[in-house]
Amino acid sequence: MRQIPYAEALAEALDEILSENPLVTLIGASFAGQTSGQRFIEPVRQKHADRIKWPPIAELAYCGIGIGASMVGIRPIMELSTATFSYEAIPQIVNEAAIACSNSAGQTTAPAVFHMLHGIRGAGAVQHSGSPHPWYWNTPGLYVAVPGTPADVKGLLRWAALDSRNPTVFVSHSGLMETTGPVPEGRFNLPFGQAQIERAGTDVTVVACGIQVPRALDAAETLAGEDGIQAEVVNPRTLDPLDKATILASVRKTGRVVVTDESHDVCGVAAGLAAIIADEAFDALRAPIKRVSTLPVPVPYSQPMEDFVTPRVERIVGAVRDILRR
Amino acid sequence: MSGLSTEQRREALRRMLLIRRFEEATMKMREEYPGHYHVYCGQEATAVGVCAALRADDHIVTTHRNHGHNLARGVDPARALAEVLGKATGTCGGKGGTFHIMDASLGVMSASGIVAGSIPQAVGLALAARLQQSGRVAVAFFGDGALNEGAFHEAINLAALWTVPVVFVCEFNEAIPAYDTRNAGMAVGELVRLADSYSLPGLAVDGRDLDAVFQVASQAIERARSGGGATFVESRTQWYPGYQGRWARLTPGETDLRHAWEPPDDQYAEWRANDPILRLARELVDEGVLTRHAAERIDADVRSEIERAVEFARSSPWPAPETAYTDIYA
Repeated sequence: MRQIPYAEALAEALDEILSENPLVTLIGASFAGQTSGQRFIEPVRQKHADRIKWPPIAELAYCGIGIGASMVGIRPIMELSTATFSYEAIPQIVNEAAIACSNSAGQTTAPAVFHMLHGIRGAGAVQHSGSPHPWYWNTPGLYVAVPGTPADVKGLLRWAALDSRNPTVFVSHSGLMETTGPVPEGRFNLPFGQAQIERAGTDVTVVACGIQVPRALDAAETLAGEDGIQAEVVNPRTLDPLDKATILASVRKTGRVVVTDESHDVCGVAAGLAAIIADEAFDALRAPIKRVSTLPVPVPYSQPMEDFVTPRVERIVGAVRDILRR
Repeated sequence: MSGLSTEQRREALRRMLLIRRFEEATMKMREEYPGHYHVYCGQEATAVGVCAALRADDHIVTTHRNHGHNLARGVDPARALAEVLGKATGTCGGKGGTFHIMDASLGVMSASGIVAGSIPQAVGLALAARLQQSGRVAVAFFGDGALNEGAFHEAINLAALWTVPVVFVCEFNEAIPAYDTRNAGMAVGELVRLADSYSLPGLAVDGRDLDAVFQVASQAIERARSGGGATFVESRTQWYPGYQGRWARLTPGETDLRHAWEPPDDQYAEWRANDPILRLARELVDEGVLTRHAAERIDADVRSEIERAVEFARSSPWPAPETAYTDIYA
């Protein structure tokens, strides 16, 4: 199968979505932020220039506008660029989009897509390195996509933009843009709620979201080579809906689990997944669940500190070794 | 631009009375439900006047003070009252309550309890109308308090930049008798001047005057529908004397239609003199559109309808607790 970068798969999805459905409207179209991935996005922007509305810096309003338009059939994708900018739009995403269906007893729904780049990007400093997807996961009524591979971003974005009946917070990591991976030719949608076993293993399960997928795969190679440990890497792909069955089946098989996500730990993604595993597969566990998250500090600017707080490959390796020794 | 027809004015009086009697019923039922509520008394001419200028397929969004907008749009008062009580038969199955009554089948698309929360959505509905070439117009109803939130300013700015068919209807319910914008917390002074900041037309209107509201709304809606873009309307209305804090009370008593012609001389005399309902009834009788008897019959019919609505709401079942799990996702 062909191998293409994440940003190229993202651009391909956008081009297809815009070509297939005239109701898709982009509000903002950064998508790859300041990364080199822009080279894939720019031709799509040019080809579909008439389908893009470029808003001024008014996240609150343009997210709300997308929500309103999505209630009556438009398929809007709001591109917020840096995920922390979505904090400006929280009242609309959390207090309007997420409750539209419930609040109206199903009379309306707001199937808008909010795409944003989260995470530690390199000199992003305290305000441009944030990872708010746990907050959105904590909000019933929102779908949350955390693609970890090029195939994920293509299939999930297509499904969110074309098929989803609910609002989606779609979180890409800026560090994934040049990551290559196998992507099938042609058009394919990945319905939400289907986890993927990225690597089979028997000794430990590593549940990894987003950029932690390639990091976990690197960790698994190190563990196989240096320790003879076979790690199974499970990529949930979406947090809501969550494919618990695939995650729990892997945990039941291996009896040991490390959960990793690039977000803060308290009430974070790793903590939430660990709690579900503890609730539903405690009897299968042979060691405590370990979590590898961003360290509990605002993400600092300077590179040595930035690396230190990142849930790096070595920290995943260390966590696995820790529970395998027990 | 033509005004309301005789038949439309008669129907407007009925709807305004329906709103007033609905709110009176709400205040009388205060002990029966858990939430607090925001009544629309004294603002009836705005909702009814604006909605009379809309097409059936147009969209509106509203706020926590939504009862009047819903009823003006034709929402069934029985189901609305059931929603206020949190009953299974409510417009939102008891999920929304008084803050969030809406009925998408009548174009009431959103009722946000955050004062400016639904305004961006109205701009989005208008953007959709333009993209889909549906010819629809969206109206955002909100109070002066919404002007203090950024959502209003961001949304009206984008509406102006993108020339979408939306009408912003700001109901300043403390504008009368003494026009004092300190009540609105806005530095701009006259609220209608906000429109200038966005290069949009701003229209101020006496929100107690049904025909004036209809004229202004028609002008704004026509401009929107013909591709001219957005308008900001400031509808100036009067604070309901029973509205103190979170719990409105029937302080001035139930509205008595006879007071249109035989006003009592008490502390509420000024309120009644400008009450949009009493004023319209008086005008319609003076102009020979209705006899007093006919006006009182309309009121009696409305009272019966509200009595039935109260009975329906009270006797409706509570939602099963597990329905909390339904409709979280479409």
